Amino acid sequence: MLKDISFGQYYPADSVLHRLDPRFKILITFLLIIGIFICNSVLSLSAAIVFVIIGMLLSKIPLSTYLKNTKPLLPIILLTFILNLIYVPGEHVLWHFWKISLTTEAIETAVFIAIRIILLVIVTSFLTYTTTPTALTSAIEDLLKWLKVFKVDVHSIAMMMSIALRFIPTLIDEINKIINAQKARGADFDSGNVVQKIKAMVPILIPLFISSFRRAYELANAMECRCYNGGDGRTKLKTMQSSFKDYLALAVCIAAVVGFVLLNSIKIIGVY
Amino acid sequence: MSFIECKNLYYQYNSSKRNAINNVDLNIEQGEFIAVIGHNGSGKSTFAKLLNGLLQPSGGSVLVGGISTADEAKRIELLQSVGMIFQNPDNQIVASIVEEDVAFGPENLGVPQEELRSRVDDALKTVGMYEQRLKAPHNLSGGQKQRVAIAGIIAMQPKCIIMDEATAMLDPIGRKEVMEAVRKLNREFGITIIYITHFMNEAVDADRVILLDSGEVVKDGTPHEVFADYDTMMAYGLDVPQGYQLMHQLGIDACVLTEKECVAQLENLLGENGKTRT
Amino acid sequence: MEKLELKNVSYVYSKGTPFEYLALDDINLSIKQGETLAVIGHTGSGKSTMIQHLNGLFKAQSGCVLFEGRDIWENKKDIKSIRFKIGLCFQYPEYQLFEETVYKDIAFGPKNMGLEEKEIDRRVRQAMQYMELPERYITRSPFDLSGGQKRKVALAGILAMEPEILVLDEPTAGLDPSAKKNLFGLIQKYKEQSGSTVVFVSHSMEDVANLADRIVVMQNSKIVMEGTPDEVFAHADKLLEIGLSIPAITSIFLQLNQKGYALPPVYTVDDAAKCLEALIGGNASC
Repeated sequence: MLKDISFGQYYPADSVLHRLDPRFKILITFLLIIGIFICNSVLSLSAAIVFVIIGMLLSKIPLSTYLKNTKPLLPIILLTFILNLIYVPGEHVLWHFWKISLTTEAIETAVFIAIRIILLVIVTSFLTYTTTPTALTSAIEDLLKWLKVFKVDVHSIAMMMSIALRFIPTLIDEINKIINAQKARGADFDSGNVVQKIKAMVPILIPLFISSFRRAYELANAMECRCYNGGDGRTKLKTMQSSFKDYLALAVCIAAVVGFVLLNSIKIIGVY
Repeated sequence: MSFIECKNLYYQYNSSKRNAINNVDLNIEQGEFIAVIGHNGSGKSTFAKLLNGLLQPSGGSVLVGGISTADEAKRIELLQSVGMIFQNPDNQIVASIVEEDVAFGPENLGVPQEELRSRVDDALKTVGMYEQRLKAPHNLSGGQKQRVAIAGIIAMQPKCIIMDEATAMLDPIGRKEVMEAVRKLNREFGITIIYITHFMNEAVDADRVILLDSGEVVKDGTPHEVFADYDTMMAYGLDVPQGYQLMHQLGIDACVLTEKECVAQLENLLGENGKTRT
Repeated sequence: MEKLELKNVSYVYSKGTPFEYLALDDINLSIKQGETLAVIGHTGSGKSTMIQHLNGLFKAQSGCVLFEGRDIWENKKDIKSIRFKIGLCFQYPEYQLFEETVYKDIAFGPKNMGLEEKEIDRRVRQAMQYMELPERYITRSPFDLSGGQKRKVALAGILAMEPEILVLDEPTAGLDPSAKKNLFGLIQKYKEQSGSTVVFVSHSMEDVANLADRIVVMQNSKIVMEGTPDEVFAHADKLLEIGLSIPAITSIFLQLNQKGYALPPVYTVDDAAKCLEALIGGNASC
């Protein structure tokens, strides 16, 4: 239902990527982001594209789902594309009009950057599509453990995050209910100017706040009843365990990034 | 010594002039199944929260297993032995996966990992939710959510569970599921159940019924003792089973609480009248 | 002519995603002027989705909804006026209160209708009277009231729109027995005085038997039974089979019949008492 699709971006499937240790997935994501950024030759970027396509196939997630994720970013990609076209200086002028000139260098840079952005979006969606929000939170908690040295209460932050995630579907459900209830009384959220539209939100926001506070109070009571006393002395049902496949995946990605770097030195077109 | 002892118990909310709980004196034995009834505002929920120390008495005391609920040093021990289920199923589930939620309590108690797994699995099996252990709570029905909450409490191995109107927001099927789970805990594991409700048909099945009104215990006894007087029940704003209503309309002074009792009573009354002649 | 009709209405949630779910499957239903219609069924049987089609909160993906013979979606801009004619009160409506005072909250609907101040005032007071809310509440904050009173304020907010059909989703959920009795009494009285049509969803077969002229039973996104209480409760076995119940009094009489009595089917305590009185008085049957 509605609350399911809006709940994070997790796409349920049974794939190699889904089964990887979330901590490794986070590390790999960072690694690949860097890897894509350093691609600056046609060969290395093509290799990166192939690598990402293989990842997409391995994830068992339909192409349309990836496209849906890229769609909202299209205006930004388009804008950077145009800006690059106009502002990147170059010597091989193809076309000139008033103060604007179109150069081969500019076209090359614009295409490169656009492809990079698209690859970045897909790589980060590997992480969000194949990892449940809960697993993501515990992975972040685990990876940030060392911050405890600096007196950062990593446990509380992670607990807050996971409770927030837990309540997202509940609250979405509630917002829908309130919106419909006020609509049933003739509330209009679509017409009018900005001020009127903001005013129209009041009948949604006040009940939502009141009920959120009530929920928070009741949840605090329930947690107290279940002996919650902060992170000290807590054990955990599941500890994350990394296996051979996680190290293998990491090794493959490191190898890929090293490959990108090597391919960078071979230029086919101009500086690329 | 009784399991729970309330002595001259008083409670007053800061915002109120009158006592929410007024001079309650009662004992609860280990293994009892007690229904606490009364209309909204009669003090039922306040009473429940006093039993596990969520609220501290304004006067008098509550002893659980000989330990005062005011004893800060024994607080965790108290909360562990007296578990509580609340009304809204959505507001007491902490984790995004059923089994992780059930583990929350014992995790807080520092139960070692190997034991955690078996406690969680056993608790889920007891309430019949083992199959759903990997689901997200928001995909469960109300009755299922409440059973997960109950599993979360029994995984802490409590001596007593307080159900604070835990079925009020459920549909009849959910109510039945929860009632069955709780009855099983009482019968098979000897867990004391304090069942706060305004559904009369749930109270009828208890060993003992406590009727609260304006924070005072007005009746305390077996269901038949407490429900014996029809007019009193009506006066306290309580619902009466239809069979009992029927007896009253017929002018018969019989406290029939279940359908079975009513059928037997009517059979007696009618004799051969109204039987098909064969 | 029927007051409100659903014709072949179907609705699928999250169409085209892995979460696709058929919530309404070819629903046909007509609601007659002045009747009290009860909708029963399990949670998830499609009741809530169906009643949100009645006032156009949901738009049927196939089929149509006719109000007095006209498709409510005929003119998209008019859908707001349909919501004033078919007043829908959700479950736990007190969670949607938001104004500073009881008066303002009840006036929210009439205000959205664009009525004059004087007319709004009349309607708010009238609605408060229907719900037996004391006049001194006018300036009170709705959040300071008890649960039962809040519920009445929320309901008054719907009544103030003077809808021709009042649709209630489990109006007494979570209330204690006396508050429940009181609220049903008020709804009954409102119906008699205003001549309005009432549709309500309930899980309590006793309440349904006491109040409804007609019952619709839903299961697995379909309407599986429809008729007067006599007709529907006569199929006790079918109701029990789909996991619903029958009024306790009906069940008691059925059990007596199994023991050799020839009692007529009854659905309310009053009818049962009348019947038994006659029998005890020496009549051969009742």
